[in-house]
Amino acid sequence: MKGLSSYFFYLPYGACLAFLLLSCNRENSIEWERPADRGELKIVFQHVVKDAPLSFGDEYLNDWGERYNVHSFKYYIHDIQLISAEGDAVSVSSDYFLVDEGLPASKQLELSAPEGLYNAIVYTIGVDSARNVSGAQTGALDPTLGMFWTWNTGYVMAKLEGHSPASPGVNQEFSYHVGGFKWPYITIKQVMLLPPDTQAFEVSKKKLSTLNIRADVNAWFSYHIPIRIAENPASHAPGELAKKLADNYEGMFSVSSIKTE
Amino acid sequence: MRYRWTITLILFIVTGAVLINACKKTGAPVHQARPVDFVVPDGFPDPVYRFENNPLTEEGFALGRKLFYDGRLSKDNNFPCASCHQQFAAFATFDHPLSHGFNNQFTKRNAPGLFNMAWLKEMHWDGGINHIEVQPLAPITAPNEMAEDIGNIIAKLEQDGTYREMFRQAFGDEEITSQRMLLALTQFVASLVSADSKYDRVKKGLAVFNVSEQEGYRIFQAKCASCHTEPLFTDLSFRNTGLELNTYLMDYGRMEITNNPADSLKFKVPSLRNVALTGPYGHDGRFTGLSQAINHYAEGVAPSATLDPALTNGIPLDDVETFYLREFLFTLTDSSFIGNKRFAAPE
Repeated sequence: MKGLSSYFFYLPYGACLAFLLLSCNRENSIEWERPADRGELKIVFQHVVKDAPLSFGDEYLNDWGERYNVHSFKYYIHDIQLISAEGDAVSVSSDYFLVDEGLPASKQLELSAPEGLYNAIVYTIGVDSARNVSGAQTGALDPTLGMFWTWNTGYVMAKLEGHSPASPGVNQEFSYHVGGFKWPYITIKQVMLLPPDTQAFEVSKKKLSTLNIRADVNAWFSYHIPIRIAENPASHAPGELAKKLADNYEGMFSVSSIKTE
Repeated sequence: MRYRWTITLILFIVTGAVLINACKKTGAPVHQARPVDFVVPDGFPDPVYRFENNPLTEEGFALGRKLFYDGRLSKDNNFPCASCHQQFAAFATFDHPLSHGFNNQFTKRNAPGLFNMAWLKEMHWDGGINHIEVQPLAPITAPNEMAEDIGNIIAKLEQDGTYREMFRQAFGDEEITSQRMLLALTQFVASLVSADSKYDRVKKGLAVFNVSEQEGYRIFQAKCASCHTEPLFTDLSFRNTGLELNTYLMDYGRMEITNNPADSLKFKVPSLRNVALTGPYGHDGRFTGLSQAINHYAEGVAPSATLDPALTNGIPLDDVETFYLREFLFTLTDSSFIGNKRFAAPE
């Protein structure tokens, strides 16, 4: 009898111990909401000039017969979505990415998306107007990355620089720093891209889906509006020329292939 | 029996404490920054900048203050923010039409006083900066001002243990980023509130204008207050006040930001608070003294397509009125602001 009563003696202690352990457990490991299964989605940007791969320093020819080379090519991407087979937009990432030909790692975005069948990918080129008026930013939007105008607040949405014998500029340079988030000179562009065969593609947790997206520098000179280096060697502020360049770069992207493995 | 109770109790307390501690997330930095209230002076409108994503703290302010007075923010370490923004001149450049920058260069415009910045929608004479947090990037990187690269500044600061510790105290860890630097500078600059001039004390009933000041105030309200609106003494608009184009600087003001010809030669209406301290006057400092600046409105307004309609005929002011007006403008000097040790260079 004596032995049993001494066990009872420790009962309140044991109960409290159990309670504390449980409450700890609940806070840390019970999932209240189960997120939808996601599959890996990789987006690979392939920079080209027409059919040739872009390589810094190599010479290319635009549609106006102007020879040029490139030494800087970068652009912001954000708000990546997929369009489901039912036509719904499904958010993949709201982060900002600075895709830079000079930094190969920046050309591959490793993301995840809810499982499903999708008909198209949608994303926005540039930095949305709110982030242009919200003060000091960090990460991909850090002003030290050289995509920020300090004297006329705003982000450079996309940048293309090089040399061309056609350029009347200093050292025959041409340089397009395209930005502007205020009407009528808005350079933020949302694009929707369809797979090459317009067939739906799958995102599954069992597979890795890779979207290879081509970005064609040639589009900057001629996709929508003719831009000749001889007439327009530089764009360094929001305005008419920047808007035309944006109307052109809007068309530089296309899905070259989709791989699921 | 008694000792058993004691052992149980001790066991209970110790285990409980251990378990509760184990429950806490490990490694979370203890953020010790002490919050500071930003006080809006009586009669002032709501500020534009509200420290929403940048909580004002003693530590953030102290870091911003150190940065503001640190020459390492410039290329040759000689040009801190404070080289052009001197406290005794209400944070304008004393007695300089244009300020001096890197490599014996001049700035393009007259350095404005820095006070009541939290009420500004746009910074700079042309309003090119849309947010106070990103303003420092302009003078820091301008080749004729501080001429430095933000990445270089971060590298310089990272080598200084005092800075690493101050960033930790302000932001929770030692990481130095452009964003943290800008947020800290903003905490200091936005805290520069000037609202304790004689004018303010008169408004609170703590002082009275003398006869000349009172007459000057009457003239001010009749002839100046539509643009230099109380209590900020600016309506924050951009106007062409009939200053002829400076053909050396070729400065078209607001139009350089908007590309709109209707904005040609328009500049921000400056606050008249502390005006006796912030001369020379005008965007290029062309008016040496207060009388010259006032006299411009009476006699010097140059006609042009974008001239402010209120100035078509200038502002008629005789010498006596100019005298009274000056007497009133002197009451806008805030001695406690320029003498506030909290805003002075850190020891």
